[in-house]
Amino acid sequence: MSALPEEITRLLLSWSEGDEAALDRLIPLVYPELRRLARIYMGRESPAHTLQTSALINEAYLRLVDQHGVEWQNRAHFFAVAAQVMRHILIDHARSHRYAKRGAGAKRVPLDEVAIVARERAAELVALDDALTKLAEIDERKSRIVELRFFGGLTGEEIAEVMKLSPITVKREWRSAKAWLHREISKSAS
Amino acid sequence: MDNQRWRQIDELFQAAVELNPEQRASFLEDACAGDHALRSEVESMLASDSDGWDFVEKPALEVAAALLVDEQPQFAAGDTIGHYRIINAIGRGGMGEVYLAQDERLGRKVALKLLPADVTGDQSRMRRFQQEARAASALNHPNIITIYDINELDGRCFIASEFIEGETLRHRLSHQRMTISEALDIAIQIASALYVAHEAGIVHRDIKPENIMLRRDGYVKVLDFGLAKLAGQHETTNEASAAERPDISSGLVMGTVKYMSPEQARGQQVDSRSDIFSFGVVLYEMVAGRAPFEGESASELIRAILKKEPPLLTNEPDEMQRIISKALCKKKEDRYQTIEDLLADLKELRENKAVSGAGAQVATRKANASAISTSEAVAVSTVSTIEYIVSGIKRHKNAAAFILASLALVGVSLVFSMNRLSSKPRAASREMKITRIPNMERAIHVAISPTGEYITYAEMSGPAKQSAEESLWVLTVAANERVQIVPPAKVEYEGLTYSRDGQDIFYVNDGILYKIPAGGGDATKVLSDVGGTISFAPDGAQLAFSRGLNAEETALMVANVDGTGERVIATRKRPEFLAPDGPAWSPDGRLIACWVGVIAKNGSRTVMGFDPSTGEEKRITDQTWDDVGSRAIWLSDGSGLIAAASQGTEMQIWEIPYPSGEAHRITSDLNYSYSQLGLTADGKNLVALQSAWRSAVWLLPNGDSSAAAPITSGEHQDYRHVAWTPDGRILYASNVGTNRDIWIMNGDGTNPKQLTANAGVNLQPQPSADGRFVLFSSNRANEAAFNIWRMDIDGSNAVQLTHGDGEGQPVCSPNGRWVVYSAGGPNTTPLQKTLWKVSIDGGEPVQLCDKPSSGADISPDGTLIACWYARDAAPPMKVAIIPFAGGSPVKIFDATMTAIHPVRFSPGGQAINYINARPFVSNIWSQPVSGGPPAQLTQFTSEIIGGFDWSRDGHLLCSRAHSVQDVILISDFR
Repeated sequence: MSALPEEITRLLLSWSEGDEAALDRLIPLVYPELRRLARIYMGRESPAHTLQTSALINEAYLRLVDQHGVEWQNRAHFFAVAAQVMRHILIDHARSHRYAKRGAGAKRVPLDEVAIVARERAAELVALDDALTKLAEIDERKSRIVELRFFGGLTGEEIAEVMKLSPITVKREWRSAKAWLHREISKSAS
Repeated sequence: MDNQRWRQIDELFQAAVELNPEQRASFLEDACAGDHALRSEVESMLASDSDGWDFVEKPALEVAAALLVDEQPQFAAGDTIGHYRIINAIGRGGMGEVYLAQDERLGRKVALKLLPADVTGDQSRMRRFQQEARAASALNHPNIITIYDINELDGRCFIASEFIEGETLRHRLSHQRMTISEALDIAIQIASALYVAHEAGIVHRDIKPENIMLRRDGYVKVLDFGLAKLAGQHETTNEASAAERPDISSGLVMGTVKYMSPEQARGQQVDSRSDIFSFGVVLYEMVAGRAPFEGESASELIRAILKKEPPLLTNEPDEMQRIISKALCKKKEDRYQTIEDLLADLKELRENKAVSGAGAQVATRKANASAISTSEAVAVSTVSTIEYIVSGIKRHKNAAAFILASLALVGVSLVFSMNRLSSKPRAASREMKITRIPNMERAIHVAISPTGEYITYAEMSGPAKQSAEESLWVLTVAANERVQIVPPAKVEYEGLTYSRDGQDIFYVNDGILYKIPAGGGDATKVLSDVGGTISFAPDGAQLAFSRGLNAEETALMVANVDGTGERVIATRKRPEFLAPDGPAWSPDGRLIACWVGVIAKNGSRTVMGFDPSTGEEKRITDQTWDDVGSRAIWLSDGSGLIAAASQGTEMQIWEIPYPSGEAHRITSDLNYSYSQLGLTADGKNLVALQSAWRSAVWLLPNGDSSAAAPITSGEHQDYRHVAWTPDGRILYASNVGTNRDIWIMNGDGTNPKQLTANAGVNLQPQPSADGRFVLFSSNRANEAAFNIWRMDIDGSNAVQLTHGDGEGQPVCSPNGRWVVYSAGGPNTTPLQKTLWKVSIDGGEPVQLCDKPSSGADISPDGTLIACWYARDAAPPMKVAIIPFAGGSPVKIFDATMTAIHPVRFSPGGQAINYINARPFVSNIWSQPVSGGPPAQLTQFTSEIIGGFDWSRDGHLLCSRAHSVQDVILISDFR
């Protein structure tokens, strides 16, 4: 069952008003729904199709938040939250598959040959996540931008809207964040 | 690096990166002014920038897509396709998904195969397939699967066929070496099926172990006649282009390539002799335990099929070698020309073997047969406690409902009257106590101490944190006292378990096994390279675990508890692996059960037994699961194992009796999933992690929350927007499956009936004053816009009353003539909505208030409207009263909005009630119309409220929901 939209709406409101603790409560509410949707999407889309992260999140948004209830500001926040949730979900999965590095079957072995290739990429995903956490320590804003784009599937314009930045700033910050992350990941790999 | 320094680097990088590469050097020369460290930092960023790294450019979801898939089937239990109700997913392959389903019309179980859309797109090919499949089914042969129905529903083509309980030949081959008698028996049945098909002019074209089912009673069934032709995989007519040939670059057809005849591999036309070749490959594999043709890639495999002779069989009768060689001739002219000849040779071989009576195989077979019958006898005579409890639950749905209801309480004793379960042996009265240990939302690993006095669990310190930290806790069961023994840290507690003496807690973090004193203290390293869960030998001196040896191989290992004396017990090569979910050492010490998995399209898990001294394998069960949620655990008397595992649905608890292996589910409530099982040393107390989302409708007689009682039992998981009808029934909106619809049930929660279906999202039902109609909000006319609708109380005759956007929260005036509702634009907040009214027959709406207003109710005398209101478009919204005729509020109260649910007048109209939502707790509050501060009406301390309504005679209805993940402790489990 999904959470009651009223509760989610209320938590989104609290979070947007600066109640950081609301996020901790929001994620467990949103998580199962997003994961369920992600699975449905994966099942539906053939590998040839591009996976529409934002479409997925949008659907989650429509299902989780009462249709009658939330202004755009909250909607933007929802995307921001959803990006974090997606990050959590994906990294969680990637980490649970890191067992592959040790050479055995993963804790949850994907049941598809395709997934075996993906498991090799899981390590990259985990490395990126670690680097992103480090980046947040020195530059919170850049890490948020990467999170929204990479995990939330938001475009530069949407990120600008959510973070109240100019699109050009988002673009510059993205490029710098990318250079930093790549360098960081290469460093830890070597 | 401090932030100041980083800003400097970042600034210079952003400036430099905009310049041409040749300008950058001089720019940096100036800007860094001799700060070499700064310059080299910026330069390394620039170098990194120019690498063209694009990993983050693609959405993460794409990267992780396959990880997330988990082969989640498209339909879930309870979904319906036409008159078929899905029970669970059975499997998935290149030719679609297969489900076990109930044919509601004929009341029988069927296997429902949904064909992929790309295959069924070609109409003429589809028709040919249907003809052929029907023709094969019409042969009505015991070795050919019976097809009930080939049809199209909701744009998906499906085949409904006889449901076969058993396993595929592939599965049997991957788990067990076959005796020659078994192989002959199976081969003769396959050949018999092919014989009648070939006689009728039907070629199978895709004979392979995956398409052959072995029923438990020994019958063999050949599946999928004609399907290969539909898929266009094997047949190419002379004029057909190469595009129709098998796509050998895709690994997915590898399995199929293996069984292709040379003419199929060349893309030539095939006849019945192609089936003979494929049959020969299968026969070879059954007898030899390996495939006759092998190759690293599909093209290598094809080369082997075309050119290579399979390795000669040793230890097999010459006659068998001769039969197989003749079936596997490269030229179809040299092969058996008819399956009839082949069948005759096989039968003769079987008879000769029987007559001679010699050979170890026959003796083995007999021994097997007697073992099976003995174990069956055992299975019948000793019914486990769980089994009879569960069968009791199944037979007495009320009891099940009772259990579910009482799970909400702590420490409820359930006594089953055995008279009602009299058909079962051991019919003594038994008491099973279920203790729920609540607030375990963040527990991820759980273990119970050998005595059952303590439960240790690892808790995530907050899922919002990117790198979730875990803390370790010990709970004293009797006192429900929790002590944190390790504070949150970046440590995982995989495979959490107590030592046999209960003195230490073991866990695996990043592949290293640690132990920590059960009362807390320092963790010490025991062993490296441990896969996950460990299990102790009965004497507690040794432990078993799984380990990845290399990329290809996993091993079941045993070591002394101090980490010395490691040795390998058994190994598995990819695609099989010994799962880290863990070994389980039997109480007599003579067997280690371990989850074994297969990495494959239809990958599965099963439990195998291994002798710890010799490594000899022992079959434990033929059952397979698609995912595992816990270690397998031996029952203390060695009579079987329990584990949490899933077969396409939620994780449930299973019992696998030993040695019969007839696994059965001992929990079967799809609202819950279970994981992290643990058992006390005496086998009496079972611990498990149980999770679910639950909601229920509660009745509060006269609004008294201390007398509140749920009137729904949890069959529905979702209730919101509850409303009384004048005749005392209850309307509500519910998410069932993937849609939200309107339902009605009796005032006592019985007899739920769905009123809307297949017509958009439907919510916020309200009865008309005379109870004839239901008013509701729906986007059925236009997916993007919600409007007010009216339908008859039986769900018929839906009429659209308004045509704007963002219209909802309808309520009927007491005289039955008007519908008051709120309206705004798409995605509007309550702050952007205003109140309107429209005639119950539709027509032009009238705005009642031009300031932000929503969530209305009308006073019993019909003169006032209570609503949420704001003077300007800024929060907070407050409870207010406006005249029914419309206009400015006559009163605005202090009560502020925390949930987007409409307000409701109390039965006498003296107060306005509304939901006050706090984190995870909602209550209904009451604002006196005469003024003064609002007062809390209900005294709930948990759950959130998704809707409420007063009945005419003053009883309050609430829908309440909560997410649960609890540890449950089932005492006197056996």
